[in-house]
Amino acid sequence: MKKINFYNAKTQLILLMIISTILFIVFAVYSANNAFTYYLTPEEFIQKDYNPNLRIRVGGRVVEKSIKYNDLGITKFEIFGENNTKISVTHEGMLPSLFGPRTFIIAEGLAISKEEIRSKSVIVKHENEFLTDLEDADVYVPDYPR
Amino acid sequence: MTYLISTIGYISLFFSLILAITIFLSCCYQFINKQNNKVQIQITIKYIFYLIALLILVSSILLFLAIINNEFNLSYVYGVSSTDLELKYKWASLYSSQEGSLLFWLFLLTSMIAIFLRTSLRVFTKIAFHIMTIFSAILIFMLIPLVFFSQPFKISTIEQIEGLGLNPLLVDPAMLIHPPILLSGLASTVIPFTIATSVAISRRNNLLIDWTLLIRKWILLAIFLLTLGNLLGAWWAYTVLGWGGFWGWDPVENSAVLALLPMIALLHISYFKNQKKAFAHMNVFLGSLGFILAIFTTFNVRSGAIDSVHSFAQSDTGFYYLIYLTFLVLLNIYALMSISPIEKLRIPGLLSKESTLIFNAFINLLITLSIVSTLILPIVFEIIKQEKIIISPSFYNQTIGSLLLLLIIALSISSILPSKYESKKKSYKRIIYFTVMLLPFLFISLATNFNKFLPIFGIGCSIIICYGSLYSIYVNLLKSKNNVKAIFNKQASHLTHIGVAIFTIGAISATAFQTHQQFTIKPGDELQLGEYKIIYNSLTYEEINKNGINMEVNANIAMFKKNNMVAELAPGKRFFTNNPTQPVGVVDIKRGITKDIYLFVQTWNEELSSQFHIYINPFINLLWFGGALYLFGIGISLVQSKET
Repeated sequence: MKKINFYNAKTQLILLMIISTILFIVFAVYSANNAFTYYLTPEEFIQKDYNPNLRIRVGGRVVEKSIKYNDLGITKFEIFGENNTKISVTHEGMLPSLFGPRTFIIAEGLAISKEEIRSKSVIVKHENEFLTDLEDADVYVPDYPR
Repeated sequence: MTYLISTIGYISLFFSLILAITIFLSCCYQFINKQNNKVQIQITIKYIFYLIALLILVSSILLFLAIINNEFNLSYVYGVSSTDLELKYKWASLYSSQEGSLLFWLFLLTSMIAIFLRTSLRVFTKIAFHIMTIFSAILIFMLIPLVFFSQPFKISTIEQIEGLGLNPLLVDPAMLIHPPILLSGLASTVIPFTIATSVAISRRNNLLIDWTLLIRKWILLAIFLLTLGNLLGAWWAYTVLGWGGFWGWDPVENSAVLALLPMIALLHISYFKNQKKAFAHMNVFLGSLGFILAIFTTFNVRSGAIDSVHSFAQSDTGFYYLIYLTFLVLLNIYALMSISPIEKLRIPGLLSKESTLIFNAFINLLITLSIVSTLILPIVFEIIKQEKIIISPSFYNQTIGSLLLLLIIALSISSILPSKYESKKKSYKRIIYFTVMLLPFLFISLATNFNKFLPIFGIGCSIIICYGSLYSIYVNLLKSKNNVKAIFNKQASHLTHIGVAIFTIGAISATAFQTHQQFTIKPGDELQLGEYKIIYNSLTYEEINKNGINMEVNANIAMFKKNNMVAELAPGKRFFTNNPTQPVGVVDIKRGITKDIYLFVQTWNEELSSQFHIYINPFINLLWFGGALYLFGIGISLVQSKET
């Protein structure tokens, strides 16, 4: 069997690469503990056992007239899934462009009850042929002739 | 007119497919009969490729004409355009959805292939049939969806007089150039893929050694276009999305950067002029990986298999692209198996330029594989456990962030090492200099209780890269002795490294040192926010009635610092005729050398009390400047490339 020469630059470089890879994998596995979130529909969220420590993402459409903003930057709204099952979302932070009634959103956060989550991140799925009517708009526009 | 456009457009695509199949079969026939060196047939096939490029150009022009002429009876035009859309945004409509973007990508692909055949095939005449077989197979795969199940010229069954308009988020000037540049970059990776595969399969050892040099211009072009495309994408995200950042680790963003990384690694490996045989396998692998990942990107964007905020176009073509991807991977495996072991690698020392080049290429590859894994993992998890998982941006910040830091450390060590390895002792001496140079940053970290140790360490390494590269430029200038050609000859790589370093300083500063505050205020009121006094003057609306925008509402804010007005900002929201419930935020930014003040209005109530988000992004403009410098360096290398 050929003896490994640890003083050889090529061997040292290969070892450096192997060590870097192993350290990276260990670090990635460690980081993954808090980074992987389950993606659920509102129906799946309600059916799942309530676990306040489980980080989840729930995707659904925003229920019309359900959006309530407050001065502290907290927004409350409801989302519904395919079977019309509704859950509440309490969101703290910025809401992205295109957020509005009937928009398909994905909220990430922790469950605070069996039918409610507290999120700090909301993303909007872009839909190419999504249409809404003007009367659905629940945003107040100053002096706008309606 | 609609029927004429539809018929000619479809026939052009169909005829292109027939021609591509003909080329593929005739090339196979040449191989079977071992007649693959017939020059006359090569020339004929070359002209057929030009004809395909022309037909695809005709199709693309026809689709654009249909959009300009408001031919809403074409389903595609109905979905992406409207009569009030300005001409420039009609250009964006051309590639804003599934069918159009596939046609546009094919147009760029056939253009790249035609230019390559016209300018560079002469260097590869001995493997011309291999090249043309692979090109034709790629074209067949690209044309099938457009002819059969993603048809851009499909006529709607219902008479339409108005279209739905462009997706609101795409009504932005950055969208006029970001997708075409990024798609051009993805399309340009077809050249390294085809040449690498052809060279390996043909088993021509002389070409196996030199192919990276012979297509160096194409590798540089791919790097230039992909970098520019991604930078423009980051610019768009920063100026449109309203969250104050430039990169959100979204699966589609990650996919877009994938093809770039192996191209950079390939460029670095190709600098080993004396040991090219040792890198034969690696070069073929990296050369092919760019295009494979470009198709992987297409699979990600089109399939809907991953949840992304950028999935503008989703369809059931995902499975088809999976088959295409499998074909490319198998072809690459076959190509790699065709190469016989040629030479063992020799490295003068661990602390040599050679080692750092290999290590940098290795880290690039590790980043690529990590991103690919994170994109595949949710799909595999769903198949195995029937549950969907999503990977949070925090994971990328920690893992890819640590690899990027490692890359910067390796680059900073490389920048202060002598260009030619002399002895272990001299290299260690340079490492001692390196450590001494990092000491001030250690003290700065100490002052912040090591809370920001890694970002400060990264900035320190970036400054060392700038120093090392500037010193190398200075030495080169001294050596060149007023020879203008020589002055520019070796500076390009140093410029790109300075660009990378400045980009990194900007990216780290704007990410790790960003501050964000949210506040609610009524028009006429004022508020003290840290060092700034904010006066909310008014909330006004303006009717726009073009590009699908019904109106724009703006909040007019004045910002004062020590009684001096520092900024007048008017963030707002755009309301679209077809999507009034989905307003798009209008960000306003006060740009500065040391920081950007970034203001976004979230919402307002009937008393006009409005909720704002303010971000202070320190040194973010270094990111754009560094990116531009990097591109300038690549541009110089591109101009200087002598071959093909």
